[in-house]
Amino acid sequence: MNAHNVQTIKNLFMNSSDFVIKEVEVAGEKALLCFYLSLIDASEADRQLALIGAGAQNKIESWGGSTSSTVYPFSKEGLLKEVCTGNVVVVFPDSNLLVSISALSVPERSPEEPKNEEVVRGAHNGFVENFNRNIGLLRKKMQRPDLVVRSYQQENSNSQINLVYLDKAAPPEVVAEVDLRLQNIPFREFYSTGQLEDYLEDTIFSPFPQFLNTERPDRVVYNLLEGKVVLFSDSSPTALIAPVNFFAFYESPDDFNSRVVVGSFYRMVRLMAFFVAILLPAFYISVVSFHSEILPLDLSKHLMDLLKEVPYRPLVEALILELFIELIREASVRLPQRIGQTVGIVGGIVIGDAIVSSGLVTNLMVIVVAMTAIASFVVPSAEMNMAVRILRFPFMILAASFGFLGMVFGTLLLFIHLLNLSSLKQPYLTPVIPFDPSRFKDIFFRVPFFRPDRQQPTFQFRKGRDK
Amino acid sequence: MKVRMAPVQMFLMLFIVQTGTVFISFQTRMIEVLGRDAWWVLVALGLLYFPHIWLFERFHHSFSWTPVVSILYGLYWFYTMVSFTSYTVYTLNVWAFPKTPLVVVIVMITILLYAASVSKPSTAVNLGVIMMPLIIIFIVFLLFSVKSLVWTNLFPVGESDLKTLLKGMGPSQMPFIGIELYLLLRPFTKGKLTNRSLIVYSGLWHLFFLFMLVVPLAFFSLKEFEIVNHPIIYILKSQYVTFVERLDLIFIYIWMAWSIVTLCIYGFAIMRLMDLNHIKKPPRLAAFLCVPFVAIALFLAVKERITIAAILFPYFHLLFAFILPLIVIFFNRRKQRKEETRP
Amino acid sequence: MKRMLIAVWLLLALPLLSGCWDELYFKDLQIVTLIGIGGGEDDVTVHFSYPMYTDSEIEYMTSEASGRSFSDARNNVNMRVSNVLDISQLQVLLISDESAKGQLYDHLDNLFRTPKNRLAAHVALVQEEIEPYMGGEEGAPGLPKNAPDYLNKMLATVKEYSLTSDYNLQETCMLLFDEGKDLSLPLLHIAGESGLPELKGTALFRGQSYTGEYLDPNEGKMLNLLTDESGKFLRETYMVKLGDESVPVTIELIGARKNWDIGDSAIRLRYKIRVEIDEFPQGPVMKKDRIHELERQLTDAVEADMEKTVDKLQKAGSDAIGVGRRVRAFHPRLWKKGDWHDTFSELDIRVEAEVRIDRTGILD
Repeated sequence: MNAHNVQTIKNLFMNSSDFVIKEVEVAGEKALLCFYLSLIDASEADRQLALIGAGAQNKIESWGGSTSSTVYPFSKEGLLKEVCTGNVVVVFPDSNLLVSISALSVPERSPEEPKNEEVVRGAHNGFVENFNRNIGLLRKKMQRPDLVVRSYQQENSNSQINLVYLDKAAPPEVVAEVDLRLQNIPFREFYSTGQLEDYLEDTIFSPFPQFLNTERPDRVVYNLLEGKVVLFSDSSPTALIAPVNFFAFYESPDDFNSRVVVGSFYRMVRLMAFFVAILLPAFYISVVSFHSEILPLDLSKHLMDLLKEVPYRPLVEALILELFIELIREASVRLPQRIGQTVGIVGGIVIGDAIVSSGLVTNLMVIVVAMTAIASFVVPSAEMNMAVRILRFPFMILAASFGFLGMVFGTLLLFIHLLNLSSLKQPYLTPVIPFDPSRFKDIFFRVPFFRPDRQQPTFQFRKGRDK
Repeated sequence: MKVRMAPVQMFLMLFIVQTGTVFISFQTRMIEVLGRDAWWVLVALGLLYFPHIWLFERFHHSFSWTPVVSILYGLYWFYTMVSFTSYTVYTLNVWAFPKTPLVVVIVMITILLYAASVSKPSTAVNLGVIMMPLIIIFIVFLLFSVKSLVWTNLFPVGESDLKTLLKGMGPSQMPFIGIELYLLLRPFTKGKLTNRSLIVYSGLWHLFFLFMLVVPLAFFSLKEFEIVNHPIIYILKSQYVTFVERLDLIFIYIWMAWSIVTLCIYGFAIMRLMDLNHIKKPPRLAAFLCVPFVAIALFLAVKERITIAAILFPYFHLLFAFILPLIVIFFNRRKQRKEETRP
Repeated sequence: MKRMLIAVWLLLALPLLSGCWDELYFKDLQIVTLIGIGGGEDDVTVHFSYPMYTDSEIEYMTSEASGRSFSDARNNVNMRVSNVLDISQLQVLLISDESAKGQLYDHLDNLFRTPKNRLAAHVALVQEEIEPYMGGEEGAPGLPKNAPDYLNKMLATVKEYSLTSDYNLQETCMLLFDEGKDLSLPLLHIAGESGLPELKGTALFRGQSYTGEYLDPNEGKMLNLLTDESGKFLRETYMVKLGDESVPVTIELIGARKNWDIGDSAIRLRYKIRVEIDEFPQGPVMKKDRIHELERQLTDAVEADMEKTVDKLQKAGSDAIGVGRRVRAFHPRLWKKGDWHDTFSELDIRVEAEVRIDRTGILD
């Protein structure tokens, strides 16, 4: 009888070799112990098992229930699900019961600061690959009961997507919208939050991210307070924040930790960097190949001397350098940190110098491209950084063919696109467009926080305004 | 599509539409005809703006966009768009791109217009906002020229006789073009507008155009207006700043962006007309309209034809901003009254 | 969204169809910084001076061409230069005094009409031949290699010390069309001993053409005072009588206020001039009664100088002060009397100046 049961269960788990099933006796009753050896903490499971046994022996009514264990009536699905999530399951074939004991043990990082979002001042912890630990970090920071977590089970898999929001701050229509979209996701298993983003975004074919990615709990906290919703997948340290506006990507937790004046200054510098990163190479190209008359004379004399040596058109020159910088960046990201630095030095200094002296590009172009690259790295968000770097190529092409005219057309098209864009149906450029004076200043200034009587939301849902 | 906008947005749209293409060119014709009297004529005519828009505000409920009216206005706006486009392209051609074929620039503008027209309505509504900082820059740089203005150029006045004044009415209508859009845009704004907001708007409009007229009039001598046809850009060209040469080149593009936004708003207006008349698939119709748009704009983009198009404008304006609204409102009110009296 | 994408692709594809019609690669250009116009009507000779780079050394080259008009000559020069000559970075425009005696605007129309040209260039007249001013091999012996820079800076300095009027290309053209004010331009000549270009004075125009009359630098300063358009410094030295001895005193202009009184037959140009004592080796200015004596004598001297200048202007029939602007605007009867240049010559114009010493420097 038991041997038959054991075989059936083993078959259920495809005879996987890390699946363990043992016959034990709990409080005088025969039981089967099922678990994945790879997922559990054995000593913890034994302790729990002993406790349950003791409880059952003493005829306590709720002998199987505790913070880490639950009793269910036996079912195949229940068994599969519990074992797959990493629980130890005790099956009582005689009384047709199933006790699941959670004793999960998987290798885990400590919540150290995320590498790509470091700040100068402020909390230095980050999310890890475990949702419960992550939400723990959040709950520790904001100890309030209206922090709500909603879990969405994925089909075919037992991992979850978790929606976190502050009930008092988040507008119900936004929560309802996310809820709808999450439920409409077809069954699939995600292996990155980026895929989740694709399902939820308003406009997928846009270079601009419509969800803010972060691994920093403090960033999540202030976004929650502003009434946004946050999505966590089960096994990724990245949280997705929505709805966001364009300017959210240019805010860093550092702003709030630094002095008011300093924070405001750097926020403005960052916003300026957006335009520099997109338009500077295009501007240079159009000046050199179309509108040289706008150069002041002293500069133009010098430029003429530099250009004399270079055989290529400015566009080719710019493309060579831009692609080269992209290569350095990509290489140094992929390589381990120590070698990455070497790549930077070799690429930046050695090749950079040689490429000028060999007459492939001019010095001025090196300056332009380097400034552009630096301006694009200023953006605190990695996704926006990518968007900005991609965008300058079409601008360069337009500038090379029409000069300033092309740049103006490109800019207008970019603005039309940005105006069309929305994040969870909220306009992307708010509060500049639609203009909202009370929040307008927040984009450019880090406003003092000495009278926090009311949390300023990012989006307003005023009636009578076109959105 | 349900469109709603705040009064500020509506006024901004109206302002951009009315200023857009016109403001760099209306001076020359006006000054050519009226001489130094141009400025007080504009002061006087501008005072009529408020009553005009006040009447629109008072009676806009009675203006209904029946198919016939919509088609008439649609054609007028289409014509406006085309001639503005060809004017813009011509100006660009002269100032910045002598060798680029006109058709390329026209096609580029058309692509932009199409992209804006098929976007969400809010895009066209809000496109004007990006112009605001540019308008301010424009005016600031124009103010640099104040030190080289010769104020005696504004005097003496009162030299033109009645006939010249009447002749001058034509070119003086240019700043008023686009006022009829108020009838279309107004229903999107709910609630009552106070007289104060109308006064503020018409005051701003008046100041802007007066500034754009007085500065060139004081900058150039009268004889020069015979040869200078874009006085505002010429003033910017002659401004000398240390960090960059040829300010005009930068400003001609600001003006171009301004013009394109104006055109986008006209496009928006035409799309709304389609919407009001329940046309299926407006984007497709818009795409079809692009073809004659490019063709006619290309045809018009010659100095002579542009001038003719500009001469026609005041008459169209008279028809579409005065006569047609008057007729439509009058008939609608009579119909309404009849319906009321009927049991 | 799909439509937006199509729009982007179309816009990006356009350049591929075409090429770049208006591209004018900076490398292919040769920026010209100095232009000289000589010759008379129908036979204009234009000189160009431009920097060339050979092995990171700047060399100034010159070319000349003649043609029926300025533009014709400018096109003709392309027969003998390696790169396209680009005059959009023009610094100085020189015109020979003989050419300026014709219709000056004829030579300038092309510069004014083509949008690419720079209108902030200095304009000056030169006496006799143009070649010596252009630098290069035929240049004046004392002239340094970089003639354009030299002339540019020289004209800027001359203006800074208010020795002459200074109008850039744009203002020159505007004044040519202005009915109420006549053009005046710096006049250069090659000084005998140094062989360098030097300011000779201020050339006076009547309407479109150069009258042949010019003001000397001292009168040039007075003209600046009269028009109230002086440069950064306006300094002048006068001899004053203190007791028996005659001592020099240098004054520097602080500011002036003009108050013109225009009647039907007479015009009074009243000026209140505030000055600072720049040099007075005789010791304290503020000594009892001395300041009033100084002010009185300075007033007389300045007034006499200004009178002299106005007389010269009247003789030339050139209203470089711009009295006509005021007359045209507010005194139509006087304006309509006839040609303003004639009216200006015949009118009774007197200057009444009042000099007040406001500062005495850091010494008393």
